[in-house]
Amino acid sequence: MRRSLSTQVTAAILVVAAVVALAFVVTIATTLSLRKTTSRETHSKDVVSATLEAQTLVVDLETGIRGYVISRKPQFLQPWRQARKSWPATIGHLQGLVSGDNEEERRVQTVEELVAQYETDYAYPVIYIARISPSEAIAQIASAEAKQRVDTIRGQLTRILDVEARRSKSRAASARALERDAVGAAVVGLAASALLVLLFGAWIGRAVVRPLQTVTESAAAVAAGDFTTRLDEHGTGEIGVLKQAFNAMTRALEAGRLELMTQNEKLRVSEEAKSDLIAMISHELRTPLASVLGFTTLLLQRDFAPEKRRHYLEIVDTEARRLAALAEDFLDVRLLEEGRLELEFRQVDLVSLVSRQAQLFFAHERNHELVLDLPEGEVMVEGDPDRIAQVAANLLSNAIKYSPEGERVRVALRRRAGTVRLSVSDEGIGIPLEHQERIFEKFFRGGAPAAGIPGTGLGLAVARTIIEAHGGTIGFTSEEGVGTTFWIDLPVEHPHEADDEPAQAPPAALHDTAAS
Amino acid sequence: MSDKATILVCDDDDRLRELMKVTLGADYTFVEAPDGETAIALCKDTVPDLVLLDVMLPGSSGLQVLESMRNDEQLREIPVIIVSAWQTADDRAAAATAGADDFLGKPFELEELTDAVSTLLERRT
Repeated sequence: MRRSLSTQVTAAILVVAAVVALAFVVTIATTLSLRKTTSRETHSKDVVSATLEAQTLVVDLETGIRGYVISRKPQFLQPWRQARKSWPATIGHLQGLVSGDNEEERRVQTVEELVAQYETDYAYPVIYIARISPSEAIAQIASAEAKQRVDTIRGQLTRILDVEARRSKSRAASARALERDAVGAAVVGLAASALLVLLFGAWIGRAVVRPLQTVTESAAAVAAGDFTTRLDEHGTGEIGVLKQAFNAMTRALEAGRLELMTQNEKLRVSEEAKSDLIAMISHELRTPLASVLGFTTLLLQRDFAPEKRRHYLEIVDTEARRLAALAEDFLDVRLLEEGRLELEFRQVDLVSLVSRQAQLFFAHERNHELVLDLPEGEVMVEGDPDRIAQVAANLLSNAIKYSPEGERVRVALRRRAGTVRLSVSDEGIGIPLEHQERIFEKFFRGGAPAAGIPGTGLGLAVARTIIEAHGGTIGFTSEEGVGTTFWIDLPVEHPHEADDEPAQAPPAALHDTAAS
Repeated sequence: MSDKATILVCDDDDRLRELMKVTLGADYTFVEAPDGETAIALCKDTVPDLVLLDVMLPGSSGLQVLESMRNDEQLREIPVIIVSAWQTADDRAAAATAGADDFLGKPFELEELTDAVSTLLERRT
């Protein structure tokens, strides 16, 4: 079970699109994250500069106090004043920058408190003392307490700087890493997309384009008339279906051509047979016509004694009848071909019918000896007397024609169980084994034309149709050079059983060609 | 014997042999053959002055008879008229090739027969 080509192509396109989209999403995400990191770094720098400013102010505070105490000149107190003025804004700014960062907030808070304490607990008292007792004040500023207070404040600020420096450093590192990742992701994504597109193209080429080329080439071969072209039926989805359909088409074309050729050949053979038949008809008509025309001319031109005249008229009569019989034969073949052979059934006595036909045939026959073997009394069958007579005449005529040396012809009629058999045996040339199968075919004459034996090749075909239409069978036994016996079996009405009883199967014959 | 010319009539149809005999009449002597072999034998026996020869005969065909006559020293000069129901251009050409002196197609006019026979016999004398 295969998925169709369109499904596969759609799936492949979706995969390629998904990979490209993923690559872009990763690249955009890393870029955004990089921007965030960069802004954090800027923030860190702001915190550092604000802290440094605060540190400067703290130094200024301390320097101002110290200068004033040592010099006792009020102008030396200027840095202190300046620093005190700037301080709230500076510390406020720093507080704003670290807001949200609890640890740092606490630290800034501590610095603010420490500075406030420095001012109230140390700076103002020292300034005051300096006015009263400068030496005491100098001792105060030189004391460990003063140094400790300032160091504590500076330590807190330094801690903030350290934290920010650490943070800034790690942020820069992560920004670099992110940058690397973003470039990597973009490169990998694009490379993967490009590779996938290439693979997709190659796959389309292999699964679609190449098979299509093969089909196109084969179609050209078929167009050129080579219907034996076949395709290997492997192929994805629709391509496989296309190849199968293509093969089905060429098979059908080949079969069609074969059938046409066979039909053509049949037509050609049938045309040849027809053309031979026309030549044969022409010849068959000419011989009796020559007698008819010749003798009538003689009779018209000359005077003959009455016996002579009668004799010639008899010849004319016989030959004219022969012509009529030929015309009948040709007509019969047409009726037979159209399946319109009509029979007029009535009670017929076969004994008298056969006897009459035999006498008729042997009246002028001097070369052959007739042996009649007929039963006493009547043998009644139901049939068309003219047609049965025609068959008997055909068998008699064949027996004479095919025993040219002039031998005995034996005509026998025998009752059998439910049937009567008429047989006509000659001692003639016989039928070669290879011709026996086709002897009932229309126009088939075997070696007769070569042997100079006239005929149309229609008699036996007509005879078989007539006998079968009577519910009978016709067959023969023959040996080349020894002779031939043709027989017909006709169903006979039993004298004591009034109604039609189906005829029993005829006894098996050596060559029961009629059984087909 | 008489000075009548002898004609061999060879045809398997005895009615046609009779027709030819009656038509040509009492001026000639006739010998008859119903097939090719008989015709050859009679030719050798009687050496006729002319042969009327059918083509489609039982056994050897008329053309075979004609050819064997033309190959026979004694019978070579005997005029032969082929009388045949097969009369296409091919059939006539085959007869001429085999050495026929004339050709009559069946059915023939009686005058054609008498004219052809007398012409050939006169030419001979």
